[in-house]
Amino acid sequence: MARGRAAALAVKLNFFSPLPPARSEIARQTTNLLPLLAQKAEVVVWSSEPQWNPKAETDAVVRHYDAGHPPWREINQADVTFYQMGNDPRYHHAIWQISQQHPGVVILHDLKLQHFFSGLVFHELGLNRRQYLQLVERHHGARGRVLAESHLRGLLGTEELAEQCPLAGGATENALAIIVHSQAGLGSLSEDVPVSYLPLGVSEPPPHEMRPSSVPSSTGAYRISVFGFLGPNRRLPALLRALSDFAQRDRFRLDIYGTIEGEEKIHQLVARLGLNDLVTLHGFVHEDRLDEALRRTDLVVNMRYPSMGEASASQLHLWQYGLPALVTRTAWYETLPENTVAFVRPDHEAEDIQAHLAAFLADPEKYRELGRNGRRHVIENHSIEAYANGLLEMAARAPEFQAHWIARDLALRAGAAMNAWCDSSTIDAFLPRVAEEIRTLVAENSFAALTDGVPGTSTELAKSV
Amino acid sequence: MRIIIATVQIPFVSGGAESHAEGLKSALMMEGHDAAIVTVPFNPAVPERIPDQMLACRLLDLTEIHGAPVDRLIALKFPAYLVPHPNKVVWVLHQHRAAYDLWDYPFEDLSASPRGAIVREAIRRADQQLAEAKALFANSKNVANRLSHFCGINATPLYHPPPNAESFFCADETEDYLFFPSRFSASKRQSLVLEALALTKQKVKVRFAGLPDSPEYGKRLKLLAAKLGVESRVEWLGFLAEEEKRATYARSIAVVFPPVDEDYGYITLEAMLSSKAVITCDDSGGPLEFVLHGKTGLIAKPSAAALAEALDQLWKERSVAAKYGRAGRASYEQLGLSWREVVRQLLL
Repeated sequence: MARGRAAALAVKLNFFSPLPPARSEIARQTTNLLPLLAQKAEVVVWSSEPQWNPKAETDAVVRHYDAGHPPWREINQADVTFYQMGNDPRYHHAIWQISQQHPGVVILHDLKLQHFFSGLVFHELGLNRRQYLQLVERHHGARGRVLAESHLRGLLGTEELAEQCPLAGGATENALAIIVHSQAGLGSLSEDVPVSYLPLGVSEPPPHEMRPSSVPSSTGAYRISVFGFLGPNRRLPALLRALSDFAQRDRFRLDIYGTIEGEEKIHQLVARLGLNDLVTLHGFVHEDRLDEALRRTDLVVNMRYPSMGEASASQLHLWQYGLPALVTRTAWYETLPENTVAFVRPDHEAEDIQAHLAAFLADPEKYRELGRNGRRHVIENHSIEAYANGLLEMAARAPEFQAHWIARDLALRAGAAMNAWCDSSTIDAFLPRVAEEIRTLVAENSFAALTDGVPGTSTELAKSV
Repeated sequence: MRIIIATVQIPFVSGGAESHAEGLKSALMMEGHDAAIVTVPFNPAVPERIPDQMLACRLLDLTEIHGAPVDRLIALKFPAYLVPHPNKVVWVLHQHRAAYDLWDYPFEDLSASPRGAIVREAIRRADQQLAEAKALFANSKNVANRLSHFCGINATPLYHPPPNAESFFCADETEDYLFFPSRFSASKRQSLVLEALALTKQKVKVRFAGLPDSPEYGKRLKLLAAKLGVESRVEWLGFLAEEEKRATYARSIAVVFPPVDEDYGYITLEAMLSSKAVITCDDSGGPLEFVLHGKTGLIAKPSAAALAEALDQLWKERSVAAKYGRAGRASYEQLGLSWREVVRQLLL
C-alpha cells in the first residue's frame, strides 16, 4: 500500500530512527509520525536493527542498513534525510555514523549528548577514546578535553561533564539543518548550521478516563508513578528519601516503570529507607501495560536534574492522560506554564516534594486541574500533525540547506588551503573574491540573484583562516 | 582574436572531447586567430572533491595573459565552462551527466557517494552559470535537449565534423566483421553487443577497437565474452592509430554503436563518411540525430535479442548493408558540416 501511494508523491524522505520494539520514546514518536508524513511524502525508514514492529510498514517502506556498508545509492534517492538523535547509544550509534557521512536534518531530542558520546566509547560502539577526546576538544577546547579525560578515568560524572561540555555539536557538525524542540535549543547551538524550533508533537490523547473522584484507590493510598529510562538525573534517590521522610508516606504507593541505571543501588536504598511496602520496581514494561498503569496513577514524578535540555516526550505522554506531574524547575520544564505542572526547585528537592505531597493530600483536585491544563496544553501546542507539517516544511527547504552546506564546506576547505601559504594581508585580499565565487556557484538561479548569496560564507572563510 | 579554449581532461583518459578541442583550435588558427587550449584536470571518481574543482575553475582568471587581453573564451566541458570571462561562449559537449540523466545509472560514482545528493545539488546550481555566457551552443540536439529539460536553459545545437573527416573512405571489398570502435566503458555498452552475439543465428563477428576506462573493465569484458561462448567471434584490436582505424572502418560490413544516450558520437559520423550502415539503439542519443532506420542503418531496442536481430540482418543481407552505407555518406554530405561554419557561429 505504501509503495502504491508513494508513486504519486513528489517528496522523498529518508528517516533514520529507532523503531519499536526498541525501548525508546523516539521509536514510539517515529511510529506515530509515519502515517502523517506518508500522506504527503514517500518515506523510507532506515533501521539498523534487523527486526521491527510491522506497524511501521503500514505507511512507509522500512529498510535495514548496516552502518559499515550503507547503501548510498538507495539513500541518495531521497530529497532529504532526517536523523532522530537521542542520548541512548544503543539506538542512535548507527544513525550518528550515517549522519557523519551523509548530510541531513538532525532532530535533536537532547541538547546534552555526553551520555551518547561517552556511551559510544564505553560500549565500544564506533568511537574510541582518542576520537572521543578529539571530538570534545573540537567543540569545547582544551579545557573540555581535560574534563573528558577525567570522565574517562571515572573522576567526573556524565551529568557534570554534560553541564560544561554538552557536545551537541558532535551530532550536528555535518548537518544540513537542526531541529530542536525547545526555544532554549535555538540559542545554545552553533550558528554555523541553520536551526529550527519545532515543538515536539504527540498523537491525539487517548479517550481519557480520570479516576472518578479524589478518593484513593482500594489500597487506601494514592499512586505515584515514575517512568521512562531512569538515569541518575531522574532523581530517584532524592524522591525516595523525600518520601521516606514524609510523615504521611503511607498515604502513597510509588510505582517505578522503566530501566533503571544502577538498579541494584536503588533496590538497596528502598530497603534501607524501609520503603519496601510502598515502592514497587516494575522494570521495563510494554506500552499497553504502561498505559494501563498511567490510567491508575494519581501523580507522576517526572523530575530531571540536570536536564539534558530538550522537551520531554515523557511529559507530553503523561499529559495525554491528564496527569499532574512534579517537574524540576530547569531547562525546558522551566518554560512550562505554571498552571500545568508542579515545580520542584533543584536546590530544594526534598522540601518541595514533601510540600507537594502534603498539598496533594489536602486538595487532590487542585493537582488534577494541573493535569487537565497540561492535557489542553498538549492539544494546543504539541499536535503531531503540526510537527509532521513542520518536518515537511524543512524537507521543502532542503535545496536551500544544501546550498548553505556546500558554501560552508567550500569556504572551510578554501580557507584551510589558503592558510597554508598566505599571510594575513594576502588572505584579506583574497577573501572577498573567494567568498563571492562560492556564493556565485551555489546561489539559486545565481545569474539573476548573485547578490542574494548564502549567509555565512565570508564568516566561514574568515573563521577558517 | 586571441582565443582560449577552456576544457577539462581526466588524466590518462583520452577520447572525442580531446579531439574536439584540438579540432576547434586548428579551425580557429586556420581562420587567422591566435588560439590556445587551457585544460583543467578533472577527476569525477572522487565526487566529494567535485565542488573544489568547480571553485578552482571559478577562480581562474583568463581575461588577459601577459598583459594582452584574451578576446574570447570558448568553454567546452564541465566544470571548465564555469571559468568566468566577459566574452565567454560556451559550446557544451556535455554536462556532468551523473548529476542529471545518469544519476540512477549503476556505473556512475556520484549516486554511490555518501555526499552524492549534495554534490549533485552543487553541480545543478553551478550549471545555472551557463546563462552568463554571451552565447550558448550545444554539441548536438541531444545535449541541447538535456540542458533545456534539466536546467531550463536554451542552447543552439552546433554540429561539427569529426577529426580528419576528409580521410575516411570505403574499401572495394568488405571483410567478414562488424566494427565497434569506442572507448570501453559501461556507457558504450560493449557488453550488450557481446550478449547479442550470443543470440545471433548467423556467425556474426565483431571487431572492437579502443581502450578500456580501466584495466579491470577490459578484463571483465573479455571474461564476459568467454562466459557467453562468443570469444571466437570477437576480436579485441586495442588502440588503433587514425589511419588504421579508417582502414578498419573501410573494410567492415557495418558499424555497431549502441551507447547509452551518447552526446554526439563521432563514430556515427565516421561510419557515414566511410559509407557504412550504423546499427544503434533507440536510447542511444546522439546517433539517432543521424541514423535513419531502414535507410542509413538500423535502430534496435536496447535488448540483446533485438540487437542480435539487427546484427543478423546486416550480416546476412550484405547488399542492404552496402546500400545503407552509401545512403549514409550522402546524408552526411547533406549535413554540410564544416569547421569554418562552426568558427563563424562561435565568434558571431
